[in-house]
Amino acid sequence: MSRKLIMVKTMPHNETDSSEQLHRRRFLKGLSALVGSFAAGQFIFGNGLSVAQAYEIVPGGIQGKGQILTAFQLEQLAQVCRQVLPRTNTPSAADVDCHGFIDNQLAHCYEAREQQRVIATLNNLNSAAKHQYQLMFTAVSDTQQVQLLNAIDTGQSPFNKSQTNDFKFLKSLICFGYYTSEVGATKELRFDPIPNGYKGTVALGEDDSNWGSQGLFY
Amino acid sequence: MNNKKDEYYIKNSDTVFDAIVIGSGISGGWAAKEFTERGFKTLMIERGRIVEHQKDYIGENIAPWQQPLRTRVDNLLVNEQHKIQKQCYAFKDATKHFFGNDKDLPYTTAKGTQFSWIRANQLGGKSLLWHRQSYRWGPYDFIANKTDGHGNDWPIRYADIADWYSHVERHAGISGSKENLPNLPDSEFLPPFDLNAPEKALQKQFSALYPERPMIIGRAAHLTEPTELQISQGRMQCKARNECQAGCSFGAYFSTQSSTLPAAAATNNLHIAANSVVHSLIYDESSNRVKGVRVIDNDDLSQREYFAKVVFVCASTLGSTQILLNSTSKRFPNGIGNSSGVLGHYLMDHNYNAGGTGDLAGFEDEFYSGRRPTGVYMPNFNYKPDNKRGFLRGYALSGRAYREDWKSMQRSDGIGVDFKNKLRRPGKWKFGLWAQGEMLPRYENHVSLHTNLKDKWGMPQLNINCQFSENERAMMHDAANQVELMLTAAGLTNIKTEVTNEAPGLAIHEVGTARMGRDPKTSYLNGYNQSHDVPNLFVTDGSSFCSSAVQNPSLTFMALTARAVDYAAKELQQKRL
Repeated sequence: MSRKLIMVKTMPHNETDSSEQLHRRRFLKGLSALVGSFAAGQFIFGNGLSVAQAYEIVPGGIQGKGQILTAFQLEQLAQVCRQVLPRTNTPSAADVDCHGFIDNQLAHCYEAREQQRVIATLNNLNSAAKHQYQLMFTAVSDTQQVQLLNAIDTGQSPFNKSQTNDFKFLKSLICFGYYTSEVGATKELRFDPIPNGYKGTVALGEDDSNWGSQGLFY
Repeated sequence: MNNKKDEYYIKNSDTVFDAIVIGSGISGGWAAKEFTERGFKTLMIERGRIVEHQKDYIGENIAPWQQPLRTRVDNLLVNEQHKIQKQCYAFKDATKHFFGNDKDLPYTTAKGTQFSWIRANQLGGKSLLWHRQSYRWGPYDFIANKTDGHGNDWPIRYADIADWYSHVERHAGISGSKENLPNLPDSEFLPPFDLNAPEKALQKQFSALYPERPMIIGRAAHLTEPTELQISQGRMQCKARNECQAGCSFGAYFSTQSSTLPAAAATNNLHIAANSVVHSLIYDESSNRVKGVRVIDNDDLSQREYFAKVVFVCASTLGSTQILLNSTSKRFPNGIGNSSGVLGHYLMDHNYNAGGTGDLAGFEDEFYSGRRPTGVYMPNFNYKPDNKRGFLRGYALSGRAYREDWKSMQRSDGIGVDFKNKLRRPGKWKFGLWAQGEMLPRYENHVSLHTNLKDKWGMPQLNINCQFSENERAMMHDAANQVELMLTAAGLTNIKTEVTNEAPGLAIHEVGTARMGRDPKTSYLNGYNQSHDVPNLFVTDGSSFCSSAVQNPSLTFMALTARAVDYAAKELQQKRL
């Protein structure tokens, strides 16, 4: 999945270059077109714009072992992602590598206790699948996976309340991963980086999706 | 501006400037603008690095999927450098470089107390990171201490500052609606941001149910319709991105970089010494004047000095207080100008420990576009004392109506296509109100210099001893109750209120530690923010406040600073400083 640039409307598209530095230059350049000649001379481009690379979505999903999760756990998580946010007319959470993203996010932004909550959830789903169907979670049918996930999501037997809470935590990671991905923010939802003002009253069409652009606050 | 920067950034200088301004945030920026526009050669001293408008807003306009951790900050960095700063709501990957490095900025808190000190040590200071809410104080706020006897009487009244509010508002640009309220005077407004449909409906309902509690649009330092002056500074209309704290290349919100610095730079009277950590003021006992400042280089820790006829200390409430306490001499062993002994005492912050939300029925076809950088505001309705209320002073309520999105629905029950489709559509309308309460000035809430711990620049660390009192707690319980009553009366359902127990600091509205007053025995500054003891020393940031009131303080920093410069300039011309 390519990481396209967000462009100011006046900027020419250049699909081949995805460097953050160039993106920033373009943003300022586009801005100067909006401002007009007065401020154009005030921009200084270049220097010191070191932006780390974003998590690179792996087309078709991450393969092999992750930073926190084993290859097997990642495969199981991919299936959970696919059931929680499946393919509709937009890709599923697994299609946009939410599982790989979650592994990376857990490694960098969460403590060991929270990492364990995700691992425990995967184990709990496996235990229940083995108990009910004598198979691992990844081996049971779609219908059976959905049944297990609904049970853990709503605190039904064999899952207890704390297991449900752990699953809700994982579900929030899946949602975060999906709706902050390019697909989630721009295709599933509507993304407007520069809204040009606030309108307090806008008619909501029958099929309008929510805003995927949230400023600083995701 | 950029082509002049070689001229105005300086490092070593023997010049005796007309004025030194310590700090480059909201107060420092205003002091520099007002001095330079009056023709005074001014040196602005900033402890941190230079941040250039536009060029250095490196987190701006980067989509979440283009950020390394989708807006979050890596644990390694947080644990190493930002254990305190991370508590700020605006601490994100796009903003983290504007927050201080906690490892270099140690302080201690008294046993059993907590205080989160948010730092923004760079050119522009917290003017880059502020929440931009801008309210005048009203007549009752300046007599509150006198009326109930807590704290000392303000030496000024609303009438003393009203014209200065107008002066700063016309330059900075404040959006809002004219309301003619008794204790929240109107500003010189740019057009207000819109209310959304449920907010308009609630506004009507509340005005019928509670005539004394109008709900208005939040007043914010955003250019909803820039004036010619603002356009001439390169500023543009607010685009409603709501990523302000990453920096705004449109210059659409007020900051030093967007507003006061370009004005000061245009005079050719401004110089800036960045990376200069002020250690102490240089005091001359024979003339009883401040001669200049001693600074430690931010990078190589070498020492240098700067000199001026008048010194304005605008380094933030706690920053200024630390410098003043550390400026000792034979005459002032406990900090320059501190013959009263009040320096460091009466620390206040605002109290954000109550609020509530509920569900709003209807409005299914209504939505909004853009990200409004302000909310709705219900001004303090307890501004008149009432013995039966059970607490002193009051609180404002701010909030908004919004439709639920994936963030608020992601933990709701469900998986699969239905769940995904639910999260795709705007959810039900919610409305919430959250309190911002006044904190009483109390002598016990104080900062002092640690007796032996120092930071890497050799500055004694601050020890902070500050707690909310029973009055603040009682007020928050009342706020939660009132929110519940109001939301219920307006027909909301699923109402949830809460009272929390967060320590002071995170409102980032700290004020009061070098207070003004009429009596030199009980106050540090006179009614013009001038030291009672040392005539050419002024302190114009939040440390000069006698009370916290309910309103956000920054607009009052601006007005007090502009007024103090006007006074100091006249005194300089009369050769009385």
